[in-house]
Amino acid sequence: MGLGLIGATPGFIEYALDGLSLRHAAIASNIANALSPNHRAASVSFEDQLAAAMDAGTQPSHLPAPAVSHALAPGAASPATTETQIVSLNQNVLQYQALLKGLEKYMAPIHLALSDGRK
Amino acid sequence: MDFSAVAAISSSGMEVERARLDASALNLANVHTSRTAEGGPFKPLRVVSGPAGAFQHAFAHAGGLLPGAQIVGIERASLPPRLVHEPGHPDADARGFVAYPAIDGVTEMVNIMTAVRAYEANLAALNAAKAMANKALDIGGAA
Repeated sequence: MGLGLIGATPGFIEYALDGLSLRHAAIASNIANALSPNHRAASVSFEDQLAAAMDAGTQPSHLPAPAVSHALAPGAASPATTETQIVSLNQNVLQYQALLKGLEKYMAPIHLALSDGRK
Repeated sequence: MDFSAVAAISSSGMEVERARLDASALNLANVHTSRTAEGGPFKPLRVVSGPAGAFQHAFAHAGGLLPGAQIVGIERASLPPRLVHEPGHPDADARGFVAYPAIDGVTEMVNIMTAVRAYEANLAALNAAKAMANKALDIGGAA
């Protein structure tokens, strides 16, 4: 959406944030279904599409939506699966917050310009 | 992120684990119930969970691919009852055996611990979503 007017970077950040949000939904779904028999773990991939698009110079708005895929075989319903998901969860939160921080820093010059250079 | 959709996934997981805990607690409470309304000893409860139907939670951004959990059924285990020789008991049969439910305290405790751990994991996911959404609200505020 509107962040495109200051370059392509915010668009890529937005895409990554959307991908991480979807990944969180996948982790939450896996945790909620940890004890459901025959549940196939869901995962989200978007980093490859993002890297390819950045290399090729594609506009962020032309990127394909992050893909949700399911594991081929149902995993055993065991606590070990939940632990793996919790680790992924923490990593996801850190990445999301780091991206937000990066976006904030990126927008700081605009804020400076809007306030006429006054802090 | 659509916080309410993601929170719905985690809260559905918490509801299911809560039900699992309740079922084990009920089993433990009825360990010595030798006579029920249907006649015969108490039959232990088992909660079977599965992915929630797409109509139950709206996941517009994932098209229903990332479901929460729901209770598919609450089954009564049909294990043979434990027979204990107590000739003076009112529910004793002709040979003096009383049929008690086949409820093992250890199994039920393990089920309770599993349910509590799963509940905590769902709670952690909910808190993580909350942290992410709150941080997103701070964009542009602290510059």
